[in-house]
Amino acid sequence: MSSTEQGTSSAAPAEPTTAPESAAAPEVPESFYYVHGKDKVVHKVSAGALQHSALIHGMISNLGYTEEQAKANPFPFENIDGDILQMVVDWCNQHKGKPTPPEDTNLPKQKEKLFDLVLAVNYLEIKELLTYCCKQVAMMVKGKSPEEIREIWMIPTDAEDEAAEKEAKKRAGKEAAGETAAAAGDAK
Amino acid sequence: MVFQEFFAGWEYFIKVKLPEKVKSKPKCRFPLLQLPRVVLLECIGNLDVLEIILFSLLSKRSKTIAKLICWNPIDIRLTSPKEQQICLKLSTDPGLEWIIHYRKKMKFIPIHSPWKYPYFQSNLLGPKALHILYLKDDGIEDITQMMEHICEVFRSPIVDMDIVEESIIEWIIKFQPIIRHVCIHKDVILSVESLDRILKNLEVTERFWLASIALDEYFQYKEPIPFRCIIINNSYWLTLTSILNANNSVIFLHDSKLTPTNINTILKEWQKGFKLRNLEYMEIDISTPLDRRRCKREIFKNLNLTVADENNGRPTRVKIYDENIYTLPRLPTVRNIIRSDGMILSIFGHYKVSEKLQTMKLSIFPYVVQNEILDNLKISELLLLSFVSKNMKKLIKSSQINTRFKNIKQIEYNNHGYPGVVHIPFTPMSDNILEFRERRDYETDDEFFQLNVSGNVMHFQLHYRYYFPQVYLSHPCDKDSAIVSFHYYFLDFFGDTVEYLYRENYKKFIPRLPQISLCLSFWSRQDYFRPENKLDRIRDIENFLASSPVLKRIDGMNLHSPERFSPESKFYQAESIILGLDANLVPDFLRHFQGRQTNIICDRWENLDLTEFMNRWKSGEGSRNLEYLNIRSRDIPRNEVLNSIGVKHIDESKTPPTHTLPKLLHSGFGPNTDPITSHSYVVRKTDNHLFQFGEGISILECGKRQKKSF
Repeated sequence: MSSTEQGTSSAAPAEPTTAPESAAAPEVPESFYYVHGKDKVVHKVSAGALQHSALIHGMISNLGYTEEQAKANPFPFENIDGDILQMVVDWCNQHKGKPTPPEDTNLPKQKEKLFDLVLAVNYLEIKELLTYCCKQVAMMVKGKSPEEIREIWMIPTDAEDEAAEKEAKKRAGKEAAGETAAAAGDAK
Repeated sequence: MVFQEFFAGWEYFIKVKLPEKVKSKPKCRFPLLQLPRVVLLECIGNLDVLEIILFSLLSKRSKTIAKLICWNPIDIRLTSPKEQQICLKLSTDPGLEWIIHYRKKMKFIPIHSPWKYPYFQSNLLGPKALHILYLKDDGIEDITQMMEHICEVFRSPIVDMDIVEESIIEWIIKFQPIIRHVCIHKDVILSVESLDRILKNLEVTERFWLASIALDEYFQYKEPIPFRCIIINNSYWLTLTSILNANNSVIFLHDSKLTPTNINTILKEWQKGFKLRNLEYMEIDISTPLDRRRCKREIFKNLNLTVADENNGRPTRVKIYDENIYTLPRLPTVRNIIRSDGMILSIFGHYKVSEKLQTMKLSIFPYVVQNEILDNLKISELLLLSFVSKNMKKLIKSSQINTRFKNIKQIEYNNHGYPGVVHIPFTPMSDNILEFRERRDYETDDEFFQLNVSGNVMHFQLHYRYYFPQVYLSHPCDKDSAIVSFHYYFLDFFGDTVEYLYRENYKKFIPRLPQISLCLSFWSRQDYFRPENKLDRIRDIENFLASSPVLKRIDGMNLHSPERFSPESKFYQAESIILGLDANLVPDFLRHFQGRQTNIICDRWENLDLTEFMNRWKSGEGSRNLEYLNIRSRDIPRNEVLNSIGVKHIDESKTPPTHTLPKLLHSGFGPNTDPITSHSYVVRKTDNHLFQFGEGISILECGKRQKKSF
């Protein structure tokens, strides 16, 4: 939370990017909120689109911001890359107020970004998008041999796992010894 | 120079550029295990059954992750149609089936099949979709390990097992002693202990199917088989006591040794109400020496029967197991017996007079009758019968050795083509004694019967049409040892007065066996009778013949070499020769050939050569063994030749004698040479033998006959 405050206070909000309006304009004026990621680029998103994210939706309903207050205090997501947040915002806008189809063709196509996207979507608690992303992840190994699956999903062998575990134990042991030594030094 | 540069460039590309290219190829990689646990499980939850299995096999960690997901219950079956398959079906999606198919090592890889395992294939089978993962069959241990793994990951039991090896019995008893279906394949049960172990330690809750067991014919089993549905092929060993003491619901006994009286006892016991109380359906297939009426009388003896002539609310279908529903036959009348609790048992009978079911003991017939029976069997059938027992072999030998076996002059091992054949030359194909074929990779031992031939156990089938035995060999090299085994068997069975011929192509391996003579075939070579294709050097042929067994026949040789065989060569000593010759080689051949029959084909020839040959023959100087000479050439001035030889003519008004000989030459049909009926002949002065000329323009044939027979 502290990093979010730091982000909003230290950097002047950039010019908000206008989100694509939904085709059917609502009669009642819609409220908008603002979000930004690691790159500090602020995205204007309608409350309807943000409803996909359980996290943001919860924050909005608790805050009760006015338009001006929202503009002045964009939601900071320092742990999400700017381009990933852009993808998420785009998806939320595209699916605003619509029932989510069983298969989504609007998913970002860049597979190399998929890992960050899954983490972001999971963090923002966008359930439908997470479901699509997980399907996409599963699709990566369709028809692949075990070795290909191991390579694609970067799954270590048992030997590698055991070696990593030993290394971790060794490191933990060293750290614990260091802390004990430091504590003993302090006591002296 | 240009090529050098090109290859240098190519080498650079292969060694430097290509690895860089491969290395630099962007690989789409996804650190799955770094995902938060919930997301990771959701990703894995989207995999299909085969993908989950492959994923869970990657490491201990991946297996633990796969096990965390609550999968729907899965049907796990091990089936063995020909190769082993683990079939998996989700209860929620019966239209989809996932199969792990273990492929045996193939001698030849089918063109449509990827050569590298594992590979996937999807098929649509009616409304069903099959997704198959092909793995290499490295033995049953791999398969059982895989079964254990799948059961653990999906937390589901095995529902159905085909047991094809005795070792699996122990495995399943330890791993999962309660199972829904078991099918034990033919000859898996090799000992009473195995049978006992499986029946006492395995609990089959639905269907137990047992094919033939490899136990002796006097074995009897008296314990009950405590499973709901039992299907037993070749159930000779299952006793009445066993059936009465079990409480099966469905019983199928094929080839049972129960008698009509036993069946009568079963019916009576059921009616009393103490035995077979859960019986829903029973089918017993017996063979009996009784005729239809006596059989029926025996089965229904002292039973209070009613006859029903319509359905009367009787069920028309019976559930054998799971979805396997059997529709009962609709017969105009059935017999019913009623139990004290009101339960009705309907009895359907089907009496069939079948040759297959009728058995007889050949050995109890008088000797004359035995002979009559054996005389009506083909040679191949006698051979098969001889494997039944030593006594049977002795019986056949003593009955046939002085009659039919004595008339067998030759038995030929013909390895010239595929399949290799053992036959009596010049008899129809249906009279083959034996055939040698290669086993295909997908064929299992179940499809063959085994016989021990001179200590060599071989796999056999019967020819689909003519029923002669066919030996199936795992490898072409096994044929040599199979022939050796059979040769020693034949020497004992047919006797050593038979001439055993070994027909093989030139330059192929010829085994050294007692009493065997060589028929050397050149037919398979492309060069026969074509002057443009020269045959190998004469010296090579001489060397080959020198190291071969006794040479009897030469077929299809084509000589157009300037080289000549030496007059003492084995070549000239062959009993019969079919060959193509250059005109300049004809005189040499006619002068030195010491055999009995020959066919010569030459493109042209000199009249003088034949005149000289005939003069030598008449004077008794050469070709004393010759019985048959057939020369085919483009143009033979027949009359000119005959006049120069000085032939004599039989009066035109008389009918000339017809002359034919047992054939030695491997050409044409039938056991004898074509009959020669001719008015022209010459006489050998020394022994009054006749040389008779065929009527054909370009054919000269000779026959040996005493003059007095004219």
